[in-house]
Amino acid sequence: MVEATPSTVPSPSAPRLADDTTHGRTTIAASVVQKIAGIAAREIAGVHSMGGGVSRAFGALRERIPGGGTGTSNVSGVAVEVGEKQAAVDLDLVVEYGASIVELARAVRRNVIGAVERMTGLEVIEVNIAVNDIHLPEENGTGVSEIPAPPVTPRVE
Amino acid sequence: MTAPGTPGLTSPGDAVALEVAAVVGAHRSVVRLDDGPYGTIATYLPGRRLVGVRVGLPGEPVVLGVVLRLGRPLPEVAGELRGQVAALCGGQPVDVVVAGVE
Repeated sequence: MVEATPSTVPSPSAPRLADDTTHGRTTIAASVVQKIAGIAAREIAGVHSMGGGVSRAFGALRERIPGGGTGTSNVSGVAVEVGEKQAAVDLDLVVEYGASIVELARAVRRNVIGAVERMTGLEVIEVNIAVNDIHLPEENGTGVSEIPAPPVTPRVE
Repeated sequence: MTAPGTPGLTSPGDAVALEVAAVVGAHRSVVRLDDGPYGTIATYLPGRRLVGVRVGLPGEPVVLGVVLRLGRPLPEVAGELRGQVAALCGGQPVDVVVAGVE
């Protein structure tokens, strides 16, 4: 700290500071980071849906409350902490059966960090991924159920 | 477009706020103006509340609240808005609050 100039020290009162210039501040709301992280995570093939048991239950409840989805947690399964220059992201995922979870988590992490850093200019310090459930193909009648049932032949004639 | 000197405006800042709102709202990356996390970014005009723009006293920063379209880096868009608005406001600092994205 030899050449610390007072003009470059961000004011401590600024809640979320992504870009500090003498011409004004740019503040990016936590919900913005949350939405971008959610979109980036869903982009990866193998992510079936997002949200843990509790957050999915609350999300289903919140959808029924008028205005309930406008707060900071309208994206199910994504929690963020946004600071002045950095952001941390926690994700709850439901993965498809058959995906390599380690590889999937790595891909999700890479995509989320890339999207958030590129779009908001915030440095992503960590992306914590919790895989809460695995989606089996037959659960929604997709995949396995397309196999036709064996024809029923009468046993007696 | 409301010209400065429109009857009914209570301060010169009100006319600037209307101009700023028109310029910001016309930017292609801006979905809409937004009054921010606690509804504080607004100008109280006679008869209505202009959301998304607050023009303070001379020397105070102009504050913009916007919901942006996803697709371009947000700081880049904020920088463009800052440049356009600063030109209207005589080079005052412009704080940009990205309240949401769509």
